[in-house]
Amino acid sequence: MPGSDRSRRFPWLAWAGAAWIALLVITALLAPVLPLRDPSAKGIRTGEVGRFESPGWNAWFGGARQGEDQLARVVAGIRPALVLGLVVTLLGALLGGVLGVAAGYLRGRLDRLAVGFIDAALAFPVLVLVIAARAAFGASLVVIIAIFTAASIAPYARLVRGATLTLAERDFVVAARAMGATRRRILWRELAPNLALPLFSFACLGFAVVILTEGGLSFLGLSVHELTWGQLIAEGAGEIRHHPHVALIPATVMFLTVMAFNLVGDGLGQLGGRRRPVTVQRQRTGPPSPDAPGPLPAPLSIRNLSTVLHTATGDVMAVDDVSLEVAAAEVVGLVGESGSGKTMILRSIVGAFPVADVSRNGSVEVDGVDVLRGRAEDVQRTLGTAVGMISQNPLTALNPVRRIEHQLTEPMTVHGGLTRAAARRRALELLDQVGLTDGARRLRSYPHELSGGMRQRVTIAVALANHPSLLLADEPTTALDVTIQEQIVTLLARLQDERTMAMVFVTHDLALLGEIADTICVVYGGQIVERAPAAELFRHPRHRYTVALLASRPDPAAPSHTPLAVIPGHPPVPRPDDRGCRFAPRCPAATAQCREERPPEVVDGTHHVRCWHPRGDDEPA
Amino acid sequence: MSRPESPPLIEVEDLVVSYPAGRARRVQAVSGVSLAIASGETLGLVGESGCGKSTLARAILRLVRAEHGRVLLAGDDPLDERRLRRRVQMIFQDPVSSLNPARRVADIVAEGLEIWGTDAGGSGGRSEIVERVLHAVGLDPETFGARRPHELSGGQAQRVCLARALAIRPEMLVLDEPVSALDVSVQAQILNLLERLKAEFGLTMLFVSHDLSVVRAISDRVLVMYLGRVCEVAPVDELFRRARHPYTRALMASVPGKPFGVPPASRLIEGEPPSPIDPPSGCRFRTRCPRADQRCADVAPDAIAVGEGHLVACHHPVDPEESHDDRAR
Ligand SMILES: Nc1ncnc2c1ncn2[C@@H]1O[C@H](COP(=O)(O)OP(=O)(O)OP(=O)(O)O)[C@@H](O)[C@H]1O
Ligand code: SF4
Ligand code: SF4
Ligand SMILES: [Mg+2]
Repeated sequence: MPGSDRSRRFPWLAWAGAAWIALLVITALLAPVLPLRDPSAKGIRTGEVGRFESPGWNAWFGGARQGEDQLARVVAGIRPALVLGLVVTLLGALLGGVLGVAAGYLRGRLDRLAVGFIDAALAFPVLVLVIAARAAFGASLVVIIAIFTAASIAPYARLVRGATLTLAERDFVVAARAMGATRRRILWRELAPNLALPLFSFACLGFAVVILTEGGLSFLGLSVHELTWGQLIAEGAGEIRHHPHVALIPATVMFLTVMAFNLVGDGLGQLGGRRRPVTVQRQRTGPPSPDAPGPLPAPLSIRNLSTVLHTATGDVMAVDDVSLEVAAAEVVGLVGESGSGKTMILRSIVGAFPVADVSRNGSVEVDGVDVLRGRAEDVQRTLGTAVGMISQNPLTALNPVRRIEHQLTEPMTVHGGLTRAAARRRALELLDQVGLTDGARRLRSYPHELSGGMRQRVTIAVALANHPSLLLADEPTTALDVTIQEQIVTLLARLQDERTMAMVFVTHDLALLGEIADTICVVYGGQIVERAPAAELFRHPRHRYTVALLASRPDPAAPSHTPLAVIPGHPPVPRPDDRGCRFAPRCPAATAQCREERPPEVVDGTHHVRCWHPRGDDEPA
Repeated sequence: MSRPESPPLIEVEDLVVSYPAGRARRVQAVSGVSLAIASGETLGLVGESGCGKSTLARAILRLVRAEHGRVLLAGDDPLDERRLRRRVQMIFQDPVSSLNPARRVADIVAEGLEIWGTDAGGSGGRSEIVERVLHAVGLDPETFGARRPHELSGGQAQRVCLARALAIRPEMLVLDEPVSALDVSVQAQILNLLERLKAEFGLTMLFVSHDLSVVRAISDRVLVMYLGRVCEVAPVDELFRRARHPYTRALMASVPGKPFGVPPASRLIEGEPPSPIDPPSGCRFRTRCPRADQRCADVAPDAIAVGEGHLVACHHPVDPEESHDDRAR
């Protein structure tokens, strides 16, 4: 989708972190010209700062044991902290990065050597190394840098190797190879730009670790002789009871710095698309629609349903004024292109959304229970027992680490109130009904041990477990091969018929609906633009989009190489403030009225259409 | 094994490709496939997932290594795989992910020119060539040149992929499910574009797809694969009118709406494809074939000619007269 990446913004907290780092750098650079005291001058001798003087106007950060000015000392500590961090990070990232790319891209023996090195290095106790090195070479900055660098190569190498391995399998790298690109070119033009961001993000986190580790070493008296924050903290620690400011102020500065690098690193990581899971769901529901439900509750009754997703790229009108009634034993098909809103109609029924902030208006009733406004327990029970759901991808719909038996019996014991033994008996029956032989063995299997078609049969069994009166099937066969699709559609039609279930079947394949649906709804831009009995829809399509959709599929009767009728442009992202008909930019019959005013719903018996100028029967389809 | 009229641009001889499958075992994704594609011809390649279509396509470009067999380009075996890739270009199923997210459309399209030099693109400087191919695929260079891949719709991204491939004037395109990831309304746009580009650039195409209707619309000849082997090859009209292999018929019968006038597949075929790690003996289709007998289990069928350019690998091919109920349904 165009512009969908705007959500990857640099978060403001990361900006705050960057600002703090900038402040440190500027202060360190300007330190010689700033009106600061000599950090090594003893205040008790010069008389400028008192012993353990409290922070105040005279000395902003207070004084230390011998009256040293703490502000001057903290500022003096910036330089070693940043130099150490920067040098170690640069060297580590460079060496580790080169090793990681080489291992991940060239593979083979080099990769095996690198992996061996990385594993060994990660297991190596750094502290032991530090103590040994200090004993042997003394504690100069160079020694500390060398040790830290040696220790950081392995984590960088591991990160970069992993990223390179996944990138190298991505289509665009394969495409570059297929173009005849050389290895060097692929490394520089294809891999490096995409590795830069994660590496940079990781380096910021690494920077923080270096500063923190140095502090720890100082505390143990193992660090350099220079004045570092770690030493200030170590020095003040002894006075923490009576003069806490001596240790706390440098500790706070160090904490803020570590935090700042972490925030910037996280921010960069998000920029690179590391998504955070949605945790909080805020759902707003508008007032009930005025018309009251009919006398006999239908398995599904949707009235004037609108669903708006509040996303980072603006509000999306995923469902726009949809009304739909599904009677017992009826199969309603929803057909539309990707992004048309067909899945969102289903999700609005069960209230599961991909984004955190959603508004729903109108009413949705399942077996007479208002699932938008009903009591939470009622809604949960209704959705848990009266509705069965089958999703597009049978692999992700099942939990990969649990046996089929658990996944199949759980809905029966939790919502259906069956005992374990009864649930197991029913599970075997269900597997038999969905055409899986050898049920006892299947119950013991894990999902990955089954083929795609078998997995989809299992998800159908799960959906049927509690005798639902309504089955919601979202592209149940799209991930399957045509021959398997035929088997699954035949199975669904049989089960639906035997159990007089209502079913909503979502797909992008109109022809498939011709095989299974009683009624077909064509969805475009969040709206049901046309609804009619299946045969009627194929014979007399009225909405201009339906007509175009039917015409754009290759005609099996026409000779090959016949040019296809095309719909120009591509489907829109529906917005709440759209005016007129959303198909207007692509419609051959559009008029000024279509662009300005929402088309009315024209009803002709069982045939509903939202169009200003529906196709007449005399026009060619 | 198929015999096109004009001299073949690409010939594949007895190709075998396998992947490691853990514990020192290998799975044969392509088991001895031969085919030829004439210059200027579109060969459609159909089959179900995992039958080895993509592997075959990639092996032609040497993106995967063949264990046995060879690929000839215009009669000779190009030892230099980079030279082969200069003349044969590939288009992938997922157009957005086959574009480098960090680069702009104009740079992506110029990629081949950077690799092969501007001369590869015909007359004009680099930016002229980029503009020319973007126009050819129906994108306005002004609007799209500076965009990045995530700012494109699927159809637009697939057009960019085509422009990138065409910039160095290849003789052939290998297209692996080029419209499967696209919306129905956009599929027709890309299919028409492919037909136009084929004429304009004089291209030869290998068109891989699982969608029979699409393959029928765009191909001159069609090859049907099952579990790494060729089942049937025929000119497109012959195949759709007189399919002889039981698997081809089962595939046609599974298409929703029964547009090819074959009785429902459930009467023809049962169960699921076996694992390619452990394929059945003899004919690989025999575990699902309604006509299978002992001979099918013992002997792998050879391809036999049953018509002009029509080959079938089956011991008991279906009588063409019984195969289609004349669209009367
Ligand atoms: N990189 C790989 N490593 C191991 N096995 C593979 C690999 N790629 C493909 N395979 C296996 O090779 C066989 C053929 O795969 P291929 O991708 O060629 O099938 P396909 O017909 O293109 O299927 P689809 O329509 O799903 O893309 C399958 O069994 C598949 O699991
Ligand atoms: S309302 Fe107008 S623009 Fe919309 S489909 Fe009908 S004729 Fe076309
Ligand atoms: S060879 Fe036998 S099993 Fe194979 S397709 Fe022909 S009849 Fe069926
Ligand atoms: Mg494939």
